[in-house]
Amino acid sequence: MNIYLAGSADTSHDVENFEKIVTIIERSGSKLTQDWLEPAKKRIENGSEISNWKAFVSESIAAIKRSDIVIAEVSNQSFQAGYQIAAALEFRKPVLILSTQPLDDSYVSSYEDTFITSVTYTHDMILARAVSDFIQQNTIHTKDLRFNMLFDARIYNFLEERSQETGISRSDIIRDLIRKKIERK
Amino acid sequence: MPIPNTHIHLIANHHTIGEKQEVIAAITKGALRAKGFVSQKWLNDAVKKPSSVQLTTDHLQAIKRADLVIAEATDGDLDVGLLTYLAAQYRKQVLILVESNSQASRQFISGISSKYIDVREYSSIEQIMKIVRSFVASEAIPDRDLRFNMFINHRIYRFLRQRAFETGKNRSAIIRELLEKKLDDSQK
Repeated sequence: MNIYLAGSADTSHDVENFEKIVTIIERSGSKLTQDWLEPAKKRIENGSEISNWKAFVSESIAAIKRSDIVIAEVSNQSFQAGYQIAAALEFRKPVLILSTQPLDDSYVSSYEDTFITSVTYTHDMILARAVSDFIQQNTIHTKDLRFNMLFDARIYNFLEERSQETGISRSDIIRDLIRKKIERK
Repeated sequence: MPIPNTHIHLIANHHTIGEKQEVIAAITKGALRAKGFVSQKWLNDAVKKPSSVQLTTDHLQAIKRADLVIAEATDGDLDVGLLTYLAAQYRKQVLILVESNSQASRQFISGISSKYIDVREYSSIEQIMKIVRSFVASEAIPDRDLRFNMFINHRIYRFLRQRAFETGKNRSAIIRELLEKKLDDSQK
């Protein structure tokens, strides 16, 4: 599962919140589509700033596009988090909005979109549960998936004949064809 | 004084809007000088603090209705970020105003690059008026008529030809009448 972590870490307190989330993400076996937290941590320690914001913004939007889901930590209510959440919704990514404070007074809390899940966490257990549940809910199962499709008579007859000739099921013939196509790529 | 004809929606941090009256007034004045008007409804509502649900619905509807959007983002928060992106997504030209040397001017906002978003810094009230005036003047829908080309299918073509013959009006006039009637109905 590819995950984008949205929000901004402007203080060491923000970094702490994000680090907890990164740990949970890594424990789940998922990957971050952009690792911006470590550089942010170093910048806070050195008192330096991002020199090329244009590149940062464009990379963050590209990383949102590449992700399967977006997890946003918005306790500091940053403009950046709001902008990235809206971008994620445009690309139809499920978004988990996490905050240590209730967002009742915010427009975001009442923005109706089935892709949004909002959780207020007061301690680490709630955070861990919220992140793990969200990842699990949005995981495409690794077990086989049922797939239905329509054939015209020509394809149907071909499969029927090949199946009788080889003793291989029609589904296996199709799976073999797809596998070969993948290997050729 | 010319009649304002460009509808502008203003996005700002509703927690700090009370402290930004001078800036809001400058935006309003600058817009007015280019025949634009900033709808004041939500600004008044924000001061009164009604439920956030109503504000959200109002905001999104107002952004959709507006010709242009201006976001005061010096202390832009989560909501300002979300609404600014949505406005651009609705293909509205957005002017983001940020105070020079503020924290916001050195952060994420300064890196936004979109054909629908223009980020400008200001250092004085006069500069706000200038920037807003220039933005509204350049992005506003002009007063004069606009040429519009479209494809129509045979059914519509036959209908227009027949109506033009019956009424003595040209086909464009028939379409304009239909649109004006629709507009009148929607505004009732």
